Amino acid sequence: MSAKVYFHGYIAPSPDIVNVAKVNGNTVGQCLNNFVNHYPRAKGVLFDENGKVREHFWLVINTNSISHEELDKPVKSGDELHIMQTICGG
Amino acid sequence: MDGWVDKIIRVDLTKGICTVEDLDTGLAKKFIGGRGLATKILSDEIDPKVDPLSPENKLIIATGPSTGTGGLGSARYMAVTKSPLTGFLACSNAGGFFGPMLKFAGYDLIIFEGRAKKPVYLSIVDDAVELHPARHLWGKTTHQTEDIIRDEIGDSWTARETRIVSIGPAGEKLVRFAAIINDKHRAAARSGVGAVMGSKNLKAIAVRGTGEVTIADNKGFQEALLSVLEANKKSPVTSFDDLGSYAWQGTPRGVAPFSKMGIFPVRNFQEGVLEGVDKINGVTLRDTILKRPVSCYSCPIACGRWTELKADGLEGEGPEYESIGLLGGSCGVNNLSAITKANYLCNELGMDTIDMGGVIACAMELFEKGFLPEKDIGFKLNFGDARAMVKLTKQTGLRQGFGDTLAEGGYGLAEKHGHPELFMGVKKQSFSAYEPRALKGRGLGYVTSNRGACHMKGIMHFVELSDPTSIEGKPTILKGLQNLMAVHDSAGHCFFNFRAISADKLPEVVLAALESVTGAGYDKESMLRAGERIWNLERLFNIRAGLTKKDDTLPPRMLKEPMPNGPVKGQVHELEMMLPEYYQLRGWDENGVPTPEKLTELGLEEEGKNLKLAPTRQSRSKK
Repeated sequence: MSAKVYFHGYIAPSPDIVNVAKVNGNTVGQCLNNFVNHYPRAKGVLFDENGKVREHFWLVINTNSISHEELDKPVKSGDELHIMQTICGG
Repeated sequence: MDGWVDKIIRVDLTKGICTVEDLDTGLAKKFIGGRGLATKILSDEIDPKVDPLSPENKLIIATGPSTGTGGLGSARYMAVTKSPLTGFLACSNAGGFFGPMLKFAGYDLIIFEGRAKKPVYLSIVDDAVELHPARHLWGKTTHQTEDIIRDEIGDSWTARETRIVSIGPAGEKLVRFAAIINDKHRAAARSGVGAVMGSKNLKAIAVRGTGEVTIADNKGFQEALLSVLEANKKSPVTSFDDLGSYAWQGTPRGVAPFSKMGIFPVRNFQEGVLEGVDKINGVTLRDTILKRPVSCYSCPIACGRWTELKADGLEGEGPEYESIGLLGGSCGVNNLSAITKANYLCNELGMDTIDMGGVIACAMELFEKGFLPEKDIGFKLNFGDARAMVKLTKQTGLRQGFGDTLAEGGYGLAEKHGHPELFMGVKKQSFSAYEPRALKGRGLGYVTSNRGACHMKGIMHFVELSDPTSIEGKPTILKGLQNLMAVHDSAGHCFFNFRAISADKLPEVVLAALESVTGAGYDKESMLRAGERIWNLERLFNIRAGLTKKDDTLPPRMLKEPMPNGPVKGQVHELEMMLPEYYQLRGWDENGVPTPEKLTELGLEEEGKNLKLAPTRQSRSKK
């Protein structure tokens, strides 16, 4: 399966206004791994030293947020996966 | 000029005279507008050593060139003055609709000077600028004040179009962290700008305008707007389809993950993980009290939360992440209803939720450690006591009972009881909701912020969450962000609308937004140089007000007491490693004073005159 993975925000790994890569993978986790292979600068940003997605990232498939415990969730061809930092402030 | 509307209002409250002056366009370009231009005017017109609550202080309400243009997030105005909380420069900003309406009326900014003999409010309807008696408004909450002014207008459509800023009883009673509130729920909250307004017997400003803001390059403006909109649309930020989104959870989305990471303020910053945090996180807020998202002028994000406490028959906006952090976590309170009530009270009485939570948390620690006797408070005050937290919020806004002491701010409270080290903030202003021992860049940002501890003047917590405890390279990143945020604040942008854009691209996008509006000839370098100029001008103001290197520090807890538990257990802040590097990067001497070379480079020679400056490199080498 191939999906588009978007990495949004200030710490995005490339100078493009929208950081996006088309990657292969059957699950969310596989897509994320393939995304950081495409953008190596994103690896240490997205994953901790144990290979887990860092707590402050917000993951969305198409228009549905998913938890960090759902990385084995299947991905369909054409799905869009979004990575963004949790937002705070006020 | 395009962007700027070229007129300013000067209100001499002592004499009761309003005059309209031309904007100095040269100064506007050099300092952009908003925060930068207002700071320049304040620096030129007052002695930085004045008593902030005296008639000699001035209060400047300023928009930026982008305010009211229809650019994304172009809603902001600034309140700039000398702070009665910190004793240094105050620059607080807010969104809503007031700023754009001031531009539509034809004014870039308003300068208030002197003190009215009796309470007044300022009415602006295009060319008609008048002071009106406000005795009948004195003592009213911010909500009541807006309602009364609108009722007096009569015609419902005109009343609806009128946008109002006001102070509540807290501002009138000179609570040192009193806010200016606009559109009932938006707050220029920090550093006590509301108390300065109160000290001038100025209750409110009501404005209605029918003009427009012209744009230099419409095509470029549309392209800039669409590029930011596209980035937001592509991101999940604006999605209403996703219940996990920002649109539904707002800024409180950060509460649970930040507690899990150990960087949430807990019990006066003693710890970083709050038990029962899920009771006050974004999901709970969405599922229990949220009625609808609310947006400011020209904003697709709608981060505001319109909430309802059905059992109490109350409705209002908030709470935001920072308010939950300070009124909640830092007070050990995980009761969302209580936090929301206190938040509503802060909006209606006119106070900063961050300092309100900060001073109560400080009082709780003083009480639990036996430094603050129960008889002084009138009741026991343990961490986690939600009822006491709400009660003290109300008492503070009205300066009743123990609230009269809390109204002096956290530092004032801690010092009075012999333990200033238990105040958690910088330059007498409370930390916002991020633990500096764990977030080293954030900690340096608190220390070096010109308005005292603040999360918005150098948004390091957006940058370092994946690597919170390292220090390498962070002074450089912080300096760049501080300069960029000075540009945003001066242009009148809301940073939230630029959050979906990468670091590498952001300055270019900000430039496109600013230059297409003004046509002033900024390029990336000159725009960022203007941001740096503004930062240094603020620093000069503070030095002239009495700031020294010893003010650039963190509470001893942050430097000496390791985080006791959680994922960042054992961390302390490494300020002594970071601050000298920051000073050097800034072109400041070892005492944090800008060098003559730096001031010349920034075109601030005049502003640096009469300062005790370090010798120039040339004169040093002669020695």
